[in-house]
Amino acid sequence: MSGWLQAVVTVCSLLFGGGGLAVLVNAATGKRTRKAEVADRLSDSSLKWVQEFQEETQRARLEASEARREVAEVRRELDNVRHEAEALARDLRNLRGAIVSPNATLERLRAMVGGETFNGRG
Amino acid sequence: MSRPLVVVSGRHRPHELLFLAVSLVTGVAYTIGAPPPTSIAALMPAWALHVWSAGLFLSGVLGLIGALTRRGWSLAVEQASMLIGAAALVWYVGAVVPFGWRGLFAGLISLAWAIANLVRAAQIRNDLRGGR
Repeated sequence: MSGWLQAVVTVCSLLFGGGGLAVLVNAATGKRTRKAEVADRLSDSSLKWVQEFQEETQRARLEASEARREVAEVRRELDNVRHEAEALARDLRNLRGAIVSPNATLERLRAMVGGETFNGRG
Repeated sequence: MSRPLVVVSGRHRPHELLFLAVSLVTGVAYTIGAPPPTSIAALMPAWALHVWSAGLFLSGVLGLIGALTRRGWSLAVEQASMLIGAAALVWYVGAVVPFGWRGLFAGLISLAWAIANLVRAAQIRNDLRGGR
């Protein structure tokens, strides 16, 4: 082996071997405070995925809360509609009762549906 | 929202583990007296040969421990093993260079192995520092 090759090999091996031993010593003495969290031990690509999943979860959560709000609104409107329908049915029953009543007169019916009232309701 | 399928294939790297095992076995063999490669033997005195085989052995043991455990010190141990292994391997690479083309395969494998060790050590260093 030529001299320069031997020199290169010697330098490289001393460098690498010394580095390895230094790493061992550091690990044994705990000199270097490890900044690595569990997440840092994941590879870069996994970390990217984790972040993307987190963002997606966040978006999904937002959408879900919005959907919940919409559902609540729809339910409230449905309640209103139901009350309205009940009131209308009640009015209809009253009108029918008034019409088929034996002592119904045209004037009384007119007074019931017309005048200041609307659809018989005050 | 559509997203690509992620396939996570195995947690250990078989090449790394097997090379570490080779390192361990050959290190033990040369330490307890198996005749070392003549190319290496021609290159260094007896004591350096012992250091070399001990380096191989140490690299194999530490590397396997580091790669197979999941403790706080595992990565540092693996990193140290990679560097020590690279230090031993460059000697073999240097030893087969005079063979020219006849040493091509052995030399290139050892060179690739050493470079892979260095890259892995750099990866671990980067990961431990949280830099990316």
